[in-house]
Amino acid sequence: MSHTFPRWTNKIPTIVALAVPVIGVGVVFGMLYWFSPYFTDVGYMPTQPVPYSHKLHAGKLGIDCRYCHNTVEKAAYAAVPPAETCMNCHAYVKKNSEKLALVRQSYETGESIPWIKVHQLPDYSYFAHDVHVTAGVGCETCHGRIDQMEKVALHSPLSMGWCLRCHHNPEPNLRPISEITTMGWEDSPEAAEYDWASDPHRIRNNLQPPQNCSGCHR
Amino acid sequence: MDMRSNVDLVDRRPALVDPHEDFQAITKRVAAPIEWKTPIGWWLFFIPSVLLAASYGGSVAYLVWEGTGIWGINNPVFWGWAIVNFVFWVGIGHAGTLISAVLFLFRQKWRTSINRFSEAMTLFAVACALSFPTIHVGRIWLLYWVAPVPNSMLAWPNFRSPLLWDVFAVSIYGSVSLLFWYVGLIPDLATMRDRVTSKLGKFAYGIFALGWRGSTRHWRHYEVAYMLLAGLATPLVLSVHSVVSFDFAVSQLPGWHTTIFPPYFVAGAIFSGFGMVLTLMLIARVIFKMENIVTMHHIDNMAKVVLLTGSIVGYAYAMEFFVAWYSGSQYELFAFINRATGPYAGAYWTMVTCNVVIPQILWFQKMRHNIVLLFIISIFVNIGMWFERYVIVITLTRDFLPSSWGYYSPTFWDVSCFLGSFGLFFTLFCLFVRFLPMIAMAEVKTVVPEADPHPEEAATGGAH
Amino acid sequence: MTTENETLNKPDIPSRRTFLSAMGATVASLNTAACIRKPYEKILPFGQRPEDRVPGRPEYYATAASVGASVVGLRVRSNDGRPTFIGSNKQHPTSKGGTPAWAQATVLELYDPDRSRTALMDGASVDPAGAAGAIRAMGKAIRDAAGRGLAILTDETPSPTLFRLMKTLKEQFPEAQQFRHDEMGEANGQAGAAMAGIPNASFSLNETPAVIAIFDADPMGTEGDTCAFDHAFASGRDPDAPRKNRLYVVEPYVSLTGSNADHRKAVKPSEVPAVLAALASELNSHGYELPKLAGADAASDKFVKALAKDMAKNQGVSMVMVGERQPPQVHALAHMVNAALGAYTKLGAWTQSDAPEFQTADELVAGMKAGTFKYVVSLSGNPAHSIPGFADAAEKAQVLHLGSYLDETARIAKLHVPKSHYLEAWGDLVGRDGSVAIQQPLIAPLHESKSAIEVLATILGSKESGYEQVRDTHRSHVASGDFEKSWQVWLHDGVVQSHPVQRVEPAIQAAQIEGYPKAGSSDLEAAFIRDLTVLDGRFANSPWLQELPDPVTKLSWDNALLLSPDTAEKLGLKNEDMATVTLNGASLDLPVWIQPGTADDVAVLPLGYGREGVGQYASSGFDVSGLRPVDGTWSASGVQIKKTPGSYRLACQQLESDQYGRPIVREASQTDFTADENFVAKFEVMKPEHIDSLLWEEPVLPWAKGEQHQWAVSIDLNKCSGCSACVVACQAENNIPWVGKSEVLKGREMHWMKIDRYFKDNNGQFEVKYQPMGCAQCETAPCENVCPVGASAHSPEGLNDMAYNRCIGTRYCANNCPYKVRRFNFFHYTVRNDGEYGMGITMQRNPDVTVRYRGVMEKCTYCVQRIQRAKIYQKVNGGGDTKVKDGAIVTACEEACGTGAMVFGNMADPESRVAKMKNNPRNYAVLAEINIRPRTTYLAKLTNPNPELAEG
Repeated sequence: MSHTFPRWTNKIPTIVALAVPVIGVGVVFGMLYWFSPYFTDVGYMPTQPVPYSHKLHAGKLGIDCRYCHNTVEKAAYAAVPPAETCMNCHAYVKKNSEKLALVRQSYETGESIPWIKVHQLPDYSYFAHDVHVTAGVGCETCHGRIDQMEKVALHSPLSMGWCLRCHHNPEPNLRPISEITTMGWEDSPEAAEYDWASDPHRIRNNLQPPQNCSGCHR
Repeated sequence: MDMRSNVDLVDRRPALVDPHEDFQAITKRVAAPIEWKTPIGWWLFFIPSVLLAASYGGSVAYLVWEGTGIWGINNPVFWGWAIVNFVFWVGIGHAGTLISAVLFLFRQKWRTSINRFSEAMTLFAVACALSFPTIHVGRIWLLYWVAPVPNSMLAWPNFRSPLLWDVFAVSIYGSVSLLFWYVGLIPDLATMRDRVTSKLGKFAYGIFALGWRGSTRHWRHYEVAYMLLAGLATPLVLSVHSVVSFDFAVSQLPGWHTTIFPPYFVAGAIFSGFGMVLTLMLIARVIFKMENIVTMHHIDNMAKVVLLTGSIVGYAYAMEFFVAWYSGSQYELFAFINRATGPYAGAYWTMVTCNVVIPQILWFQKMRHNIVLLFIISIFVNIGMWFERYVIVITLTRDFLPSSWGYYSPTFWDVSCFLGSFGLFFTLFCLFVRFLPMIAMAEVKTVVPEADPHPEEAATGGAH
Repeated sequence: MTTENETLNKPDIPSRRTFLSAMGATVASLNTAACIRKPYEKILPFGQRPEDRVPGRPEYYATAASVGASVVGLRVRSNDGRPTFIGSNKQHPTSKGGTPAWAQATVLELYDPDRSRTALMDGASVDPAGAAGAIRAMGKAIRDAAGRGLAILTDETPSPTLFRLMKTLKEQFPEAQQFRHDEMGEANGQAGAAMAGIPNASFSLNETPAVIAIFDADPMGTEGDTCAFDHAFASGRDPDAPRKNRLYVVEPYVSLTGSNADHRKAVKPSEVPAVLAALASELNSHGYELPKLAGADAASDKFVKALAKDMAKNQGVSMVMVGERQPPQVHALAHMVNAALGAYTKLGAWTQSDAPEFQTADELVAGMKAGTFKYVVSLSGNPAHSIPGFADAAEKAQVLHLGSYLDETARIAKLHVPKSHYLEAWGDLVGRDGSVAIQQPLIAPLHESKSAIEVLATILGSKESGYEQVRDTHRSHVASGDFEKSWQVWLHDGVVQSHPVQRVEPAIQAAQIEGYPKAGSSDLEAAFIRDLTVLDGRFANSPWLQELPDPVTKLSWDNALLLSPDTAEKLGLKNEDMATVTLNGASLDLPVWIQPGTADDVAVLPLGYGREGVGQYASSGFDVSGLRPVDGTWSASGVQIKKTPGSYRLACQQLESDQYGRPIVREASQTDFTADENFVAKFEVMKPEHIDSLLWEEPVLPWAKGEQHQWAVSIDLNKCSGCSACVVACQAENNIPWVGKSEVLKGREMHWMKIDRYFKDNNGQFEVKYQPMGCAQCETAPCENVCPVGASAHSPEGLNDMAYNRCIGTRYCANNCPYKVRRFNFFHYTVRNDGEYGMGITMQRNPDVTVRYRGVMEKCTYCVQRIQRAKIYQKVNGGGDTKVKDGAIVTACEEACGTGAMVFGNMADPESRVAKMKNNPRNYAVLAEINIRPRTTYLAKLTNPNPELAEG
């Protein structure tokens, strides 16, 4: 039927043969992005207005997380500390450092330091730090090795599925209350044989992590 | 002796197509509309249809921009015309597959002249139908959540929801109908490929003819495939509208929560489907001079189907009242009395008149053969069946607690969406009649005398 | 756009770089994707965080609000410094833990963008310093003139500090004169009390009377301490109450109180005095020493006879009440009746008010006309509108207007000063029982506003700080040493415990009353009433109260001419017709609404609507105040009403008032109840055993085992007066948008909970039934299984969770809801409201509740945000015990309800209040027959008719 189809149509099979793999690769990369932590911005590491180093303070100096984020055990938010907290030390240490100019200014004027939010949930999901911390979920579990971060980066996808996996089965992520703020505990030997159910120091052992909508959406 | 007379009876059955039509004549006749230079009449249909379809697009755009509030829906009537139109179109989308699949399995040869036509109508109706549940949701941009795809929320659709069943039922029905229609088209596409002169035409028909050469082998595979698809499509005819009826029957509202809905909806759907086929067919056969192929015999049969299904629907209406009374539920009883006497009684009686009373005329052959009258009746059937769905939805105005009772009135945008969907329907239809053989020539040829290997026996009525 | 830049500025971590290089072409789409996904937000911490301030944790402060002389004790929630919800102060003695609807709405009023923001001098705005200077200057001038030519005008706000300052003023400058005018006040009541020999004192009801006879008063709706009355009344409706009560009401229109009456008599306003007189003389024949006034013919009247007999039977515990709408003489007679019945000694106490002497408004106007006053300091209200003749007389004087809106008075004032909201300024309020509440601000003034106390203090040249003034007032009560300590306690409790109360024993002379009104005329009479939602119009600019349907008529966003069916027929009028009402030469066109139960030949005209130039909402409706007689009386004869062409659509939120014989509101009389405790069962459409005997084995629902909390609500229809405070509370707590009149007309109001009201013709007697209706959290919820995306699912604690962010808006759930209590965002209402309301509405929003988007279904979930907060608190602080204590969670509606009609709790705990209520024989579920198993159930209503009148 050569008169039906012009000659160039003979190329069609070749074109298709070439196109299919290209499209396929595109799909694969598309999936890689849209269905992967890239999409949930894991690794997002903005430059903060004040070059505060968790690596130095939490890691090298070993300051407990709760010294600054002191509401973590009694409120939903682990509040970013007021400039006052920084000044407790920096009134004496490095009192004239350039890097701390913004902190001093905030302390004097009361004007906020515009920190850029790294861990951000949508407004329709309600997360409470206090209940997780007192249940024995460590800072490290969600925030990663903060003590090794010069700049804080997003460690977990914070997607609904990620939350639910732990709510379905919290055991692997539980640790002694005394170790809540310990960094690197997960890899430590005692983590391996820790049995949360028989831990006498736990605040509560009847964990019922909500798996229904209103647990997080209100 | 009386055996003989029986045979005579058989013989006196009118031929399915005009016996003077031979193969070539049929081909000519069917291909003609495609080979003509586009007639003015076609443009007169096509241009308004396209404009209407465009207005549909406009209305939908505004709907998505502004919100479903532009419609008349409210509390308690959360579903308005959108759902009415959806059910209306799905119903119309029934006749096609019924005619082609079911009648095919029952070896109803008279179907051959009209199946292509009605299948096309089915597809276009289903297309219109699907558009409505899509646009009627509040957040259309999240509609993909009804699709069961893995996602980072670990959330799945709710398979207990009739709406979800709908999504599957209607889309499967749509795709199978499309496939069935297309397979049936292949031989004719090949014919067109070989007839048309324009390069583009050849190319396009050629692509879709899938290299059909009409060899015996092709025919055998074709017959098998067609038979299988018919078998596949037949249950769908019954299932799809049953499932649509579940949208209402599975709820617990007075007037909705009733077991009669599935059969009643299917019957109603066939009814409305044949109504619409008649409407279109009666016009088309005149415009495209197909009287010899689509004979009175076909029309008579279709009229009979309309009469039958119409009466079934009428029975259902009566039965609804009986069940409401028999249930002893004051809510049920009130719902139905309210239908007949309440603020929307007008809609109810329109429905009864159009669907039950008027079709009774078709008991008389004279009437069945009066084309004009038949056309008018078919229009009434379409109107009546739309009102049937309206009556069902409007039942929402008065349910359990009088404190929440309300009223419903459509807005400009309800109307524009409804009319717009007709625009979409007729646009597709115009394109169909212009570019595709609207009658299955290959099949019709099988029922002309020329196709009979032993014509002389047929003439003397010898056993086949 | 900043968001985009920030994304671009993101430093590439290695993995990201490889990824980008791999699909370099799509970097742009990547960024946009990131943009779409989340706006990159800032965290703005304090420079120095206040002590005990935990970001994100709500704080509660006790304060108080007042309308007229009625004080409501409040416990207001503040989220990160923003007042967001008006809770009730359970310790407050007069409001008894209740809050009226208007109080609930004041949290929105605080943020009202139409409030006046800057001071105006001769119409030109002046900076705060200038304003303060002007006030000081005026004060100086006044002091130099030794107060001559000064007129101070205030309302009935019972503030001890204000009283103290006024007294000082009077002492220092005797020639200064003080006037009082309040549309929500009790001028007639006080005059009547004075006639009866108890001037300047107020009565507070402590316990329920056995027989209450109301004469044209609305103590449940718009008069007196409504919460206190509701509380007392509800306490007498329980079948096991120590003292059951019976409510008789004689009134021209259907007031909220009338709608709760056991027996109701609809008469013209001018006939009410005669009925009371008849009662008096009837009681006289029962042996009470009461005057037999002329024209009092009880003989004919069965109602009065039965009432008198009932009262005599309940010697000492029965009482009559007369409303502000009746002239002083009638009040005086009422006092005599009560004195004779001994009501005042048993049922409550009289308290001497320490308010200074005030003159009346018309004396003020007269003085202004005469040019006596150089300075008129108006500390409250809008006299130019509410006091006839004030505006004309004003040009003779310099008016200092302290007000919240740029209203008529502001326009004629020499100096207009924005008035601080009660949540912005210090103050104090003394209740009728003499208890004092400190009015504690929760937020610094949003605008350049001052409080009445501050202005008066400035004029006096005293300390200008309201805080100091209030403290000074109360310093005296306690030994100076422990003042600070007790001050803290007062602020915490919201009540000044040690405040001295002067009790008085009423010495009522049973003298004849001069000029007791004669029986009414035969022609058409007008009755001007305070509106149940916007009161006298002071709350007319609140979209919440505008959209809140009137509990009786269910009209919203408008007032209308209310007529009885017969009168309407006689005048050839039907609903939504326009009619011209002519009275005292003035005339007004307004729409007609037929309200059964209204007295025949009475034209009821609700005040407070159609206020031009106040705000964007206040202008809706029709201003009937122009028709009102200049002397400010509340009713007048000689009204002409005639139909005018055209009609007007009224936004009624309930179109059906009949129950169609369905067992929705179930009720019985107290006597029938004692005869058959389980009478509710008689109403069942389907016997429970029939419902259970289904085709299949009924699955044991996981939550029916009840090892967890099982949330439930029980509503006692006996205790619900229909006041609708809960509806507004729900709106405030759950960020529920208002939709405006046009949408209400389409039937799209968003109230998660509504008060269904049904009318009943109880052989000739008109009755009203109320039923609060919200999502009942059905255990086998019809809405859940029909949602294609599972946006509505059941929680193990029995809540019918609604994940707004999952909803795609098929609206199937709402169709399938038998109560029709789901609400759909047909448009983006919240954004619309932001547009209308500016920042205000976002300031008020509750951060614990998602703000719903367009195309999303929403509904009540028993204030799940409060449940979760309490559960988390219990988990964190319960030391292993995760069971929340009964009463630890209070839903918004429950908190607003002063009578305890609504009780929320854990029904799995047999000791909980709700579990107990569910075991009450009166307990029933609406639509139980369709086996939806609602978690909200009702306690059937019990009426207490007088057997002698029962057969009608």
